[in-house]
Amino acid sequence: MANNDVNDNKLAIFFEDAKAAQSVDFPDSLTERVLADAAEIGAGFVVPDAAAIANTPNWISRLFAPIGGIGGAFALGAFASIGLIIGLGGAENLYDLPVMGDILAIFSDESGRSTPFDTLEFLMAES
Amino acid sequence: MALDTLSEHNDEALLALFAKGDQSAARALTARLLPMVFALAQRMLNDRGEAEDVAQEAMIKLWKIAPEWRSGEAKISTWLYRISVNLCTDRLRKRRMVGLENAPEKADETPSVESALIAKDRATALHLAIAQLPERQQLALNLRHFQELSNPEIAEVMQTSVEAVESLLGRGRRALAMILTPKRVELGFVQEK
Repeated sequence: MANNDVNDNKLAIFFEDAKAAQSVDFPDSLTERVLADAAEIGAGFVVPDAAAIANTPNWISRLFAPIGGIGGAFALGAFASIGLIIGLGGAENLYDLPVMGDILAIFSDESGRSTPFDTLEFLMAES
Repeated sequence: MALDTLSEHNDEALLALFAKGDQSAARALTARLLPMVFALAQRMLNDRGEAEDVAQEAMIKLWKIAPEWRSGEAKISTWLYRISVNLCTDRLRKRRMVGLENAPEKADETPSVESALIAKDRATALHLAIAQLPERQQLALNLRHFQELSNPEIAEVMQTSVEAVESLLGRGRRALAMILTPKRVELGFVQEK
């Protein structure tokens, strides 16, 4: 019975016969077509050279590029901080701000005069 | 680079060279991979013209993915088999959608199992017997016995488990034996007493 059945060993013979009989050749035109595709697609690849890689900005620079790079980001941050201080200070003018008032006083050298009009009146009286 | 030098490179190295613009790497890869892709497609589709189209399409996908190929993720040949199997499956599905009345009358053109066996053409008999099996059993048997892939590789190509592949192969072999055993006399496998 076992000898007459097509068992695994006999199936293996079938597969061996089939492999031997299979056509392994295929048209040269297919190889040519495939190589033509490779040439066409390969031509589209951009291979960056070493200098280009070296000049490529890092990710931080790329991130801030739309706002002028890292310098632009610092400037934006500084102005945002000033705006925050002014906003939170609730001052009606610059001289009411704790820090700004002191700074302006240094420049005007008149800590008692807090507005440009006061300074003007003082100068007119002096003259 | 010379082709004989390139033959020492593995598929992955060749694909990396191609991505850097080395066309001779494409030639080496084509010589290595195209015959097996074409053979698989021809066996699945049983149509030389369609097999050529599938092989070309699969290779185009390989060329396109070359710059993004991530080393060590998959074997290129296994990936290519999977692409080819998917392309063939799509074509087989389209054939079924076309309908039997519009499909080429292959049954009339090809010899029956009986006539093939009478001619003692075991190869043809085997192909005809395999054609009677469910599609996934056919594919598993083709990949195992003709493409000589391992079970884990077949599992990767078929996107299933190794156990499922073993089951498909087992059922496929049993079904083949059932189809071929009654014809053993014509096959020349009966022991003479």
